[in-house]
Amino acid sequence: LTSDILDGPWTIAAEAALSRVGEEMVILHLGSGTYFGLDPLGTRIWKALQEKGELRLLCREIGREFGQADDVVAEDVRAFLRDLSEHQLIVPA
Amino acid sequence: VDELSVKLKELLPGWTIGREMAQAHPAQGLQSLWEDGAGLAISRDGSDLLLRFDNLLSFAINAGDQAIRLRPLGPYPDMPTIEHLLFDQLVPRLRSHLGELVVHAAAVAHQEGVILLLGPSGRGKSTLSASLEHLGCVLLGDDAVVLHCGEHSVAAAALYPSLRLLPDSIMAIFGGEQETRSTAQYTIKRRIDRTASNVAPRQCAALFVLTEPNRRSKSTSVHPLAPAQACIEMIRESFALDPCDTHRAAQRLRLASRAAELIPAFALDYPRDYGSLGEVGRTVLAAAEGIY
Repeated sequence: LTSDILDGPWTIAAEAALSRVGEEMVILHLGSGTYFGLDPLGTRIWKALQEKGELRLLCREIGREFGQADDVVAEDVRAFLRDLSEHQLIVPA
Repeated sequence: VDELSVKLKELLPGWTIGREMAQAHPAQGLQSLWEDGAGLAISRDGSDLLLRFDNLLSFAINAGDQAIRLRPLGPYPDMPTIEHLLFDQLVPRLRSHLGELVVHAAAVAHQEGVILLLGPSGRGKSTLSASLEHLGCVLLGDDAVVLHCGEHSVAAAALYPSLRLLPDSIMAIFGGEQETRSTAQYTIKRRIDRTASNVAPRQCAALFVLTEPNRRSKSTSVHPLAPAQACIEMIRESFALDPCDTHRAAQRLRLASRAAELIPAFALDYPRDYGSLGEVGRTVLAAAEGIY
């Protein structure tokens, strides 16, 4: 069995600094200098990560709001998590 | 050094500049911090930060003593080169280190606000800002701009009134009838002196991020940028003395976030040919005027 990136658990990297800019968020990795812009949806996922929220539940909520199938949303969220992980903005808890 | 001191006092009040002998500081013992891959290397030497520019010159900076010392790496480069390295490279980084947001941008004053043209070297900041003078703008500076965030607006001030252009740009914009002098011994860019009366901060009206030159660009286009994207662009084009200093990186993020919320920002894509400069300038002004 392979673990699903959605199940984590993930924690925000200590080197991730974030700043709200209007409706969006900018995250800076203080070590590498990498910047990441989050749209309102990305900001919502980031908040769930901060609050150790249940990401599968969030995928279902987003799916309902946007009229998308859960598995389609889940795949997008997985890609987003992979991106954050590759940039070391989130690390395994 | 006396000549440099006078200008340095204007840009960094309280700071002094002096010289030191190269042999007094052997290279071993330096802690390498960062290199930009284009000739700039930053190291720590005890309580000094050392900025080395290729094999031309090093500056030892002691923030506690507010002192800059020239550390030669061989024969001193010529005076324009020292001035360029000090005022165009080091001082913007030092101002950032001291807590200000300093971005790599040209600035022109137009009607009720400053228009910023943001981008790395080679994007066309100087050429476009010089051409905007012909459309009634006042050129404030072409390279380093200090941004101060207020409650409802951002004030912008060029670090000093600089303008440096390649000979073909000078020919295209000024018709060659322009007094120029050397910028530095390693570039063919020429410096055009401007009066020092335009350095007071003025309210910022719009920020244009100059996109990478694209041969396929046949016309000028302007697209609004989301504040988060503008923030990222400002941080990317901000000066930093020690890019490894995480405390100051976080501070730049806070300042750029605030500035990005207050300044309307646009991406500007345009053909890089001199014949189009008038049209590009008019498009920039029209976009900026739409904001007022």
